[in-house]
Amino acid sequence: MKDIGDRIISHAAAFSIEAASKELYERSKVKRELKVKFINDNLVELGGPGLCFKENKLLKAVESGFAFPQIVSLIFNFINGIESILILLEIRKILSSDTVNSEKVSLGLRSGLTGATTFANYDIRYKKLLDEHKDEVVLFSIDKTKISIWLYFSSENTWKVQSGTFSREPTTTFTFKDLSVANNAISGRFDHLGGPAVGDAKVSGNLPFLDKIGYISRKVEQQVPSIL
Amino acid sequence: MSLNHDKSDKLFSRALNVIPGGIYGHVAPVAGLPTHLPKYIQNASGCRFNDVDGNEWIDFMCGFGAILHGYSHPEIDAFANEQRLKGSIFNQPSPVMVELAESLTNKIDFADWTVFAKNGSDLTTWAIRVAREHTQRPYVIKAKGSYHGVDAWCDPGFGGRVDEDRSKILEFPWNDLECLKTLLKSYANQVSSIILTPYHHAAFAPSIMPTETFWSEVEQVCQKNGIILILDDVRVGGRLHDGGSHRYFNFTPDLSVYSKALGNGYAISACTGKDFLRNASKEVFLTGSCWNDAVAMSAALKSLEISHEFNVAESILAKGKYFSQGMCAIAKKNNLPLNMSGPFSMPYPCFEGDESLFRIQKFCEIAAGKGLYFHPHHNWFISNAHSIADLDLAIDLADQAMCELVDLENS
Repeated sequence: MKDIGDRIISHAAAFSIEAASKELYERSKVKRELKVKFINDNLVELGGPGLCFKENKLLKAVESGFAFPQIVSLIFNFINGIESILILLEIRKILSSDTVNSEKVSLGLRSGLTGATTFANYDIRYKKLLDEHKDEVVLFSIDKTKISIWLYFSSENTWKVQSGTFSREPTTTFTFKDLSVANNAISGRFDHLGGPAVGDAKVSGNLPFLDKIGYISRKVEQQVPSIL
Repeated sequence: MSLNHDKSDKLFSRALNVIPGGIYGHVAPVAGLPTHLPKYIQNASGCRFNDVDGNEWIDFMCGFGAILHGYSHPEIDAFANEQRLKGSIFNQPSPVMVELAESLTNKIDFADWTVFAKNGSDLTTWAIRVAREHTQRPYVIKAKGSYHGVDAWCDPGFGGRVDEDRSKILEFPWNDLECLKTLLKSYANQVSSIILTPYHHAAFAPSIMPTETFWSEVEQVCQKNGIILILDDVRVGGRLHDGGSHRYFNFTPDLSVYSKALGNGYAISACTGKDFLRNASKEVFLTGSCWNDAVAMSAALKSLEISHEFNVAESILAKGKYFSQGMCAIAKKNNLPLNMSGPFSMPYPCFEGDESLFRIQKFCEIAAGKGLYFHPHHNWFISNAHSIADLDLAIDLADQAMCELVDLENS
């Protein structure tokens, strides 16, 4: 994939939304996913025709909770557009809720890690960083829960994130102590050096790969607007 | 079973408030076994140390290589204390600086001069600048994955760099002479130096010894192309040969950098060089707040004397061989094939088929519960304070740890 410069921020935000919708869809909480499609003039479509934003407006929508979508697209694909808006609102509701549960945490983890894979797929600096780890698989989980989020290099030559079961064994594992610690992590309040040392998370396996994923995730957190 | 770490953990919690990450760098807990190895150490003697919770450990990291003769070595400490009473930092260097430079220049066969600093990084970076000054060429070649310090041209981290920091650094895979030669062809007359460790001792991977012809060919291409050969002997120096690791592998560098074991735990580094680089060395500015530290220089002087007098490198190679063979034997008995790569005095342990490191991590965790300080991702170090009885005890405890590991894996 080619380097897309500053547009990587809106790409990361869009793919994070898609990942969150996918998680909700797999949990049967919504009827469909919000598939991302980048179209001309810096427009991004979420969930098919209807909900379409200029990339800068998408970032505003994520950050502030509201931005005008492209009205013409919404009018001509009204029902689909409204359905997509409702899914977007559902994602926002869950992620901005004070309640910490497995739904919120898995949504946040999957969507945050998808932001990191977007950086790894589209920015040459981060792409290079992960080049030597293409055979590796990281499993993120939370102790005593069934949450499993996998990060791996796919057969389509891109870094991907998925939930649930996976066909390969992990080469690295990162296990949060509990939902509360994981919630801190998705909100950018996890000390990656101190956390494992005080038992808030257990890291095992090939740590250099995890170290790089962690670094990229922190760059995403600094640069990409978040609902949290 | 994990040992009690309450005091260690409390100190760490305090540290988190005032030190980013609590403990940073290669000794950050997250880089090892975060909840199994102690975070703070109270005191140490010989090959053992006590953590702040009062647990005694048999050590196999030796201050990550800084300890060669054993912790709190009485002769070295006494000699250093003598200087401490006179003072450590003055407006001008103390006489011991000249004595130490003479000692190193005598002991390192190719060396005509020596300079001092505090850390390996200080002088690996300075050495590549000396090479650039002498050759008036910009590029530096290093082996991929090798560690030469904390400066932006070579550090293993990711943050705080710009592309320009490494735009003049070229890499080739260790032992891949063809790749090295291709680089030299592509950058003809632009390469100032090749900086290499005596053998490849990357973290998180087994060590790789040089092939039979590696060093002679590297030496040849350097001579042929007017390139300065820099030996980064920071980690290995003193552990293969008391005259420098190049003697063990039978080659001659132009510059060589030492630190870790040089002062047996007192902070000092040194760079020795050939006469033809003397003028260039005078052009590259070198100084630091406490670099004339006479106490560390005294310790280094005594440490070198002991290394030479007692043939310490040979001694620890023999002890390391005994230990490595013992470890491999118990591993075989437990059906956990183990490789101890690298030289015997600083072996890197790796279970066969354990590329993801889960097994070695679990083994080291169990061993930590028995007071063995084994690091899962870094080469271990043997010091001359390890006695055969210490090594036997460690092997016996490691055997118990392996039995528990097997039980755990089968359960």
